[in-house]
Amino acid sequence: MSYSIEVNGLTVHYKNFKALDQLNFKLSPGKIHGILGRNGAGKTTLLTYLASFHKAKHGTIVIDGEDPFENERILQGTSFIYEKDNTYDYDKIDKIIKGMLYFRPYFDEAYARELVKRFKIPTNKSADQLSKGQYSALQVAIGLASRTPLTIFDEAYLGMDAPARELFYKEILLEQERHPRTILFSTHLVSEMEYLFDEVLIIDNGKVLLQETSEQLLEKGFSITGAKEDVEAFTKTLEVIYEEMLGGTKSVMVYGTLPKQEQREAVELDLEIGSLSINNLFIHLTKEEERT
Amino acid sequence: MKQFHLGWAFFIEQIKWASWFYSIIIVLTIGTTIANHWGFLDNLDISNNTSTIFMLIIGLLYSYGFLDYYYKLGISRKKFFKAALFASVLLSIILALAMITMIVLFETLVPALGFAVPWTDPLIGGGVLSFIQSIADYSVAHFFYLLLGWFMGLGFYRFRWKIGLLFILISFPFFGISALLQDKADIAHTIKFFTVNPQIISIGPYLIFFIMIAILIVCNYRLTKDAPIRL
Repeated sequence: MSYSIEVNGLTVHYKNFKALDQLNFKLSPGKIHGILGRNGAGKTTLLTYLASFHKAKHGTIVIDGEDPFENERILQGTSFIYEKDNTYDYDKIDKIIKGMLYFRPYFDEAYARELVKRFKIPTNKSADQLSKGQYSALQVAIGLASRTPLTIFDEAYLGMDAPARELFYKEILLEQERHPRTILFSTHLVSEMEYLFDEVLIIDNGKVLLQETSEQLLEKGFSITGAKEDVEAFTKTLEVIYEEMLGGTKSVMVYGTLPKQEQREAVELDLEIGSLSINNLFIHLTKEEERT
Repeated sequence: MKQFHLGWAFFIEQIKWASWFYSIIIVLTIGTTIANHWGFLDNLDISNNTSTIFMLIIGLLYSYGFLDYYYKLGISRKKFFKAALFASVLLSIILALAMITMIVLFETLVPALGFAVPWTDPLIGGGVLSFIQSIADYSVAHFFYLLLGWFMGLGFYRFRWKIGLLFILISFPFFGISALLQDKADIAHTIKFFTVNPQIISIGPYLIFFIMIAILIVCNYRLTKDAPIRL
């Protein structure tokens, strides 16, 4: 089971600051969506509105066909996993896991325990005794095992070491195969996580900068490497988002598609055409926005 | 989670805290009794202040602790409010019962052990009616203070500290009226200015308490139903 999301004209003000500005987008159900943006772009604000932490005053949010605010069904089916402070969480890990059974109808206790074991979280300790990384791993384990139709991970991996993050990513993909749901990921570790995303939504200065499937996005950029003069001549009419030089060799990143004819011309000029990563595109697109 | 189960779980969680609180109170009272016996302390005038302050603190935690916790587990604000109201009424009555039972046991056992009861106005002298009235008085006072704590906590949770401080100011009249109403002789004297009807004199304070409780319930509901949830 998974929820679809539709946002229309969502605007959020914090006093004189416009955190979100007329956001319009749809997120398809059963997919992993990467919600990307630079610091202060409005990602967490958006996610808290999707989780109905706040009531939308300007604009509308529709989740699985209904207004999610104070909607028992939608709230029960929505998990929001984020970096939490465990200082005052005195419950034992075992009690926390058992407790979830009362709140999340699809919670799989056995799977949660398996994840806790694999993340090497000591179950005889209370939550406040866990390290930051262990506590994040516990949140992630609960988020995965809750199997809520809408699961939001907002920088949930903070403090987790590389092997734990790797395990998390692997489990996300496995779980999505076993129990597809709508997963929203807000992250700054784009290069590490981009292979997980089915669709990408980039937010910049509170506005939707871009929304594409990962495939579409990857088709929107390419790199050209070769002799400096040839590269410059070839890319004169293209939208170059980044360039670097090494001796007489120049490498540029281009935003846009390259038609077959031009691809052939590039090969004739002995230019190397490469693909860009979502991370490359994200960095340079948001930089470009900053400049303008 | 069903409404009743949520309310019950909420109540059980608070009862755990209350049992710690009452254990400490019992130890302190035994200590006071011994100290009183050996002449270290003068007679102790016991009042329900300690338990009402406990309820006030529990109320303060309703938003920062419980609303926040339950909402993040998928419980709506409205459902939380109903569960909180159910748990707070039950907690107020159970704690009143516990308090009165503790006092009665103390007043029975302590003299039998050769010690003097460290307060001046013993409860067991007043008979069954006094016992029931004390339970009712304690229950109402507990509930009132919990609602007041909840109200102030909501002010801070919703509007942050500046407007939160205003909520403390708004609470002052409630504290003042409650203190006045709990001084039975004083309030009876005041009501006599308006009427000599003995029924009104005895029911009047309860009526005012219930009006204040109703106001606080309405305010707390209004403040909870669209409260922003903090990260």
